[in-house]
Amino acid sequence: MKIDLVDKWYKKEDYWAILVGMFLIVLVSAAYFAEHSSVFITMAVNIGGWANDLSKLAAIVTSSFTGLLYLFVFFLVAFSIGTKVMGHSFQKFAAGFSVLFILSVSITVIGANQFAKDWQLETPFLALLVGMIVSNTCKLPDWFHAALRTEFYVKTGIVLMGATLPLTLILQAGPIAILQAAIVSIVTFGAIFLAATKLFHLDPRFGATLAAGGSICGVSASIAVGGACRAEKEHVSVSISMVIIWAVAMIFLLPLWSKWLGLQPGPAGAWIGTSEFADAAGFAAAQAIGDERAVKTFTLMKVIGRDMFVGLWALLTAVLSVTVWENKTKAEAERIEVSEIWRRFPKFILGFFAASIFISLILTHLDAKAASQFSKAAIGPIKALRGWTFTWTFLSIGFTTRFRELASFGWKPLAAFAIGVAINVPLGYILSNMMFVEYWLGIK
Amino acid sequence: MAIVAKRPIISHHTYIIVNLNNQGPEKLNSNDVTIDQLRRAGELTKVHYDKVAAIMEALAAIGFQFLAVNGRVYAVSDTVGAREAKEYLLKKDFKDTDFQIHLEYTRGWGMM
Repeated sequence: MKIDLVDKWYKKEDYWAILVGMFLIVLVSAAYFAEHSSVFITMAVNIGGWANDLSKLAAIVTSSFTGLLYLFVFFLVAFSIGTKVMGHSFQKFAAGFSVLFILSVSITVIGANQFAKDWQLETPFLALLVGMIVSNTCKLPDWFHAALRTEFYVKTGIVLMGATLPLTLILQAGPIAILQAAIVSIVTFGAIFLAATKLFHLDPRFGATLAAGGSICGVSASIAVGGACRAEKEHVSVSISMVIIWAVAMIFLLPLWSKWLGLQPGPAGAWIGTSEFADAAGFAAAQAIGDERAVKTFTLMKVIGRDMFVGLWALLTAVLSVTVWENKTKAEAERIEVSEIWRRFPKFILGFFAASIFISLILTHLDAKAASQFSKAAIGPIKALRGWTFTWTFLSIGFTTRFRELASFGWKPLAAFAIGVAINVPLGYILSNMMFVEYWLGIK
Repeated sequence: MAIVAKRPIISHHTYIIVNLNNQGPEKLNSNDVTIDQLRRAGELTKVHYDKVAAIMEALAAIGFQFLAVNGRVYAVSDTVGAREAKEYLLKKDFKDTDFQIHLEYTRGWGMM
């Protein structure tokens, strides 16, 4: 076994997501000021709506062809370089991404059709459904799997998202997001942990891993807390299975409930940010609301309110695991370093903030008219490109959610997690749509 | 309800870390060091290094591999779990304060 003790930064997905995202943002901005925005405006393909008119569809596809080519080449090269440096096969990734790209274009075209819209089958849902149906009925080739890098795509998308959220908005809404997330995370963590340990007598480390998955940030939290408190591998696997099952269910349920309850997009997005379990799944649910405000409030809640604090939770559970859960005093116990917080911190969030700071700095140096032009010619394309990274995310979720291959789990972890969901979802609704509703309605 | 796992959802690395630097209760003060302090520090260092070697010997028997970086010895395994390793070391009469454990899980099959 070759020991790679210190994980070099260029071997990690988080840093490549930051690199690709920031490189694109800087390039688009530089192109704007060099008066060469046309390339990126072309690349930022938006497939317009169409109904039964196939000639209109043909016109849409024809006019978008050059842009799609630029889009494909840019991201193929960017992602392939990252994938190769991270130690995976360039050829397999390139082949798989090519197919994924063609599928994403097809799904986006179908999702833009009026019939699909009438049936609420827009791109996020369509991508998920197609992916899940295919992956659960057919065996997918290895080279295609190489391109199903859900986390890479969603993290790149989140960095690009940072460019579309002004720093002032993050600073204004951040404290509310943190407060709301703290309430929900603490209550949900407590509920799942107590149910797991007191009601169902599961190991406290297992309980903490389940609770982290259900209250903080899904799979990442299960992995971070599971590692910090030394949970058994099968317990982390079960926790991940719980997160995936519930996250996929919530992709469909939360937008549906939001529509039934007639919620405004801002509060609906905040509810999703509180009650969805994974970033990738949450973006699918937020985009399904069909309003950019939902995506913004989701991002504020999930990324700033919840994801950022996984390191703190990891440190807390690490300390508990070597003291309380091993019946040892602090003096007798194994030493836990505060650096655990940084080790477990999701580094891609730094890219999110860097992107926001970068664009905000540009905007502060422009007058109102210039800022408006910059928003249209630079931020607009970034937003569209972000949309494509999310489409690849949704397809990847669909293709990698193979229910037969999830870990075996008994009824106790399922019941403990379900108790957490039963508390988290209504609590998230109350906080987003009642207690803090004015703040979320204020996000434009 | 049981759906049997066919592929590993996660992989892991267990790291057992032991500090090589151990100045003991009498820290050497460069402005005021005596010969006896130095001899005592040397004795304590030998005792400490013997303990580190004993920990390494015990972990080698269960398949750990080693390297030393920045004054620390890292014992690494991707087969032995963290708690399993800790219980094993405690049974060998080492103490919790003799080492630190880091456990890293990595997600598999490109999942969310």
